[in-house]
Amino acid sequence: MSETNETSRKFPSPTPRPEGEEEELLRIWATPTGWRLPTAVNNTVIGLLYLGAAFTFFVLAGILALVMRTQLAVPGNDLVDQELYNQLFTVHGTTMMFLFAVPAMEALGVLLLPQMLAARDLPFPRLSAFAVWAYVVGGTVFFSTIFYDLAPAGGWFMYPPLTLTEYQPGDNADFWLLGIGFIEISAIAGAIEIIVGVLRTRPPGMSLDKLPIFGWAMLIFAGMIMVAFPAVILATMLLEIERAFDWPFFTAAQGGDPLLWQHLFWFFGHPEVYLIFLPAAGLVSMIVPTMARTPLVGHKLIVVALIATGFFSFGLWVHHMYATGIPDLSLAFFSAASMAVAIPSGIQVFSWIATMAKSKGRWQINVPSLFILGMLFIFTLGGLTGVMVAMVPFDWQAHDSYFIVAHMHYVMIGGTVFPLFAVFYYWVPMVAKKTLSERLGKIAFWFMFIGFNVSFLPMHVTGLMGMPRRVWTYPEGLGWETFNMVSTVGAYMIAIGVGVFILDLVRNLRIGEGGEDNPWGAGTLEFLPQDVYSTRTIPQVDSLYPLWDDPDLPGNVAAGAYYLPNAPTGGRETIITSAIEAKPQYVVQMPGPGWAHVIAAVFTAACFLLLTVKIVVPAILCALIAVFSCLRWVWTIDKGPDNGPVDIGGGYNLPVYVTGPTSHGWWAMMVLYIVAGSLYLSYLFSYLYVWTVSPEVWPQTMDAVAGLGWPLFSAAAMTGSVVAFVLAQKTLGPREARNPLTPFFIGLGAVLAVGAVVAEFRGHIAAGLRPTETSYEAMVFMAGILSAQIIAAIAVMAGFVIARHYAGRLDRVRCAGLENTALLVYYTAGQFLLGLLVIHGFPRVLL
Amino acid sequence: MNRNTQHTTPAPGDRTPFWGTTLYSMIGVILWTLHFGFVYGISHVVCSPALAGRADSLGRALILGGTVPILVLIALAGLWPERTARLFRVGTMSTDTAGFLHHVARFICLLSFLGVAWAGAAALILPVCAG
Repeated sequence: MSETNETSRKFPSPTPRPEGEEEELLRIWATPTGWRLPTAVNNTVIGLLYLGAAFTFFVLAGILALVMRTQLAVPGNDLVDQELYNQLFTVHGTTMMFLFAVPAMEALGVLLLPQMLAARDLPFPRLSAFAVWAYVVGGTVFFSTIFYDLAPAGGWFMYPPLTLTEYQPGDNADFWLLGIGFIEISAIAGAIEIIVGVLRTRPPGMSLDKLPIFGWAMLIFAGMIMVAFPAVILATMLLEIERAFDWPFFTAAQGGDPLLWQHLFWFFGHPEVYLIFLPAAGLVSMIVPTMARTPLVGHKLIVVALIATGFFSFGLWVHHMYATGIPDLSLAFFSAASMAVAIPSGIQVFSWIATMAKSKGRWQINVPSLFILGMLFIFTLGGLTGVMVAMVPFDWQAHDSYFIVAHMHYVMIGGTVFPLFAVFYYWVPMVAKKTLSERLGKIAFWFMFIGFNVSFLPMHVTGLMGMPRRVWTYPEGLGWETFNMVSTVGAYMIAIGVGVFILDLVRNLRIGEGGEDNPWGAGTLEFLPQDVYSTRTIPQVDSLYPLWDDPDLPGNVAAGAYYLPNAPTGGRETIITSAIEAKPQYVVQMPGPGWAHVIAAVFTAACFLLLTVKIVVPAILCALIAVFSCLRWVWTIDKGPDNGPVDIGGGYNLPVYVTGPTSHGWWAMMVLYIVAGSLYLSYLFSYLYVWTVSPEVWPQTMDAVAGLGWPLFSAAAMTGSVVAFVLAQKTLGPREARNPLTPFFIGLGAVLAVGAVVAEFRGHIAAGLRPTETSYEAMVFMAGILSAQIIAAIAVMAGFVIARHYAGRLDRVRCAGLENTALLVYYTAGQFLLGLLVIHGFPRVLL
Repeated sequence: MNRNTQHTTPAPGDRTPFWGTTLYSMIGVILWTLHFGFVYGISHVVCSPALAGRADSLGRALILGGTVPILVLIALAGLWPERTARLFRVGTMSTDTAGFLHHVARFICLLSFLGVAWAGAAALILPVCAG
């Protein structure tokens, strides 16, 4: 082969590139400035906002912790009263878990993934921005409740019956339920973005075996969000409905069960620990090889460990319920899973240690590596006490004591906070003009590391000495005084360490381009030369550490020698590749800055918050504005096929508009299927669970069950809806030729779906069922509500698609909107028909 | 070379289905999940007021009856990942990708085997509903 051909094969685009090409990229990807800054959607801007907000919540929740530690420093202290202390630990825990840890990890996904994958951006940039703004607004309002005596006081897990209206009147608990439910939805939006982004925007050649570990970690993380978060969303719905409308899901006297909350909450809550740990572990797996100047030992095993941890972590939820009277054998299953999950976690720790050992003295001692070493020490100790509390007899002794507080913080701070600080120091050069200070960073590390152990190590002892969690004070003479004082001193040392870090940020963090591209000598793509458009070209990737294996790669990427060296559609775009082998398939046209998604986020948050304080009419108005803004937002993102096909280099002439199973929109819908399916499975679990604990409230005669005619009518209507949407898709005409049957079938499909759910409710009401009477009746109506909310969305989407038809934006080719609506209808039909079978079939089987 | 000239037809992607590949490579933990749901569901239901009185013998038989076949399936999948891949219609992949996925599938099966055996063995030792 001639040298020219060889060069052409290696470098898809000829160089030097034409004049003005890079300037056009800079113009297209420019970040809005001034008052338009909130409209920005670039992942670096949104990611930094997300990360900054999460860190702010970390500091705020840390300040609450200092107040608590000051209160507990001496016995009989009256710095805060009991009620405020209850609010403090509730808001501290809730903020750390929901407003700091998970958002921080998603933020890092948004910030780092496109850079690691050399993509121009994630595939749904406005969805990321929507999620961030919703989180910022909702989180700020939630946290501020501590200043107005409106904060919840039921602990971060909000157990009923303590949190039922009877015991916690007022709006405090509602702020938790609606606020956290809302923030969870924002987290799911981010997770959809991450899954589709990791699977479909990798650079050509980056097959799954070459995906960086952080990509794997985020994939598992987002997958876990898909399955875990719907359970807590359902739980918050059930509890809020019980508080607002007296549907007795958790009231034992009417057949409910408070333990149902614990099952649903911990099905989310325990995986949550791993949700936070896995991305952090992924980040550690990225930093360790750089610091060791050695490829990660056991790369494949770490992938195995991530996947196994993701699954096993779901088998641990009763780990938190050992003291609730569950039979021994059931506890044994969870105990086994609790210990089994230690194996994959151990694989990761040993892999990091092996990588360090293999470096044979090349291990660099700097701030990121110090935080990694600190993490290894602290997390390993937390893991060891985790194995202890996985054993049922020990857990019974330590349950709800300060031993658990110590264990939890060793795991969470060791597994999340220390890696996060390593991340700050390691990846700052990617977004800033210079690195942070090594001197200040080391001071911050030692204060945090020593302070952490001074604070939390003694808590193991105070716990074993019998000090329970969540006490606002304690009497003298129990032997807890010294340990508590030491813990408080340690807490202040951590605060000093964080304060030094903030000082370092103030003095040295300057966001922008111009710093050294790869100060650590890393081997992964995020350290390629970057600008607002990410990398100048999207490289061909042939190894796990492309920058180590091809030292000329940065120069060639910057020279425009690889894929997509320009902006062939004249707008924002990136390459969509196949999920396994990362073969280029098409170019996605992405939206730029805009107000619609920001307004949608703000008004969605406002709607939830107004509902919390029972201001209904303004809440409805906010909801309408939010829906209208969402429709405005999505109206423009379907840009159609006219700008393609385009040449991205290497002989690839790719379309810019694709529908069907190859399209990223279709993939997002499949992810949404998993979320919705998980929520409905959680509901079916709840329905059957309530039957097992209260069979006496189930129908005893056929009179108490809706007649068969109603569900048969509902099933027929829902099936008709599916048929109507199939026909609507088949009647789509060519461009400029509107078929009047298309909007007819779309409208008919929506009406039939609405009719199906209305008939379902009518049947139960006709049978005399009332949701406020028993847990069974409440569960029956809940099935209808879960389907009704999706059908309401279908009705709105149907109207939207009909409007696009009349605007000439819907045809046989440009049909993504109808396709996605139809996909939602097909899912809903499946869920609804399954629901009919269970709700109408199960009681009949029992009779 | 113009590999694709149509306006809306994507360039050919993988020759192997994503969902089949995903199911295949994670078959071990998927079977672990099924087993976990099954044994916990059985132990919960047989000990509930709804089925009180038939607990111990029925529960133990069902749990062990569910555990053994799942252990066999995981062992088979882990020992012969290439054959398992064919069952899921996982087609031609590059050598690197295929080797990687087989390795992942095999080790996930190993961990899952331990997890299933660990949980299932409890039924041999503990009474089903006491506690």
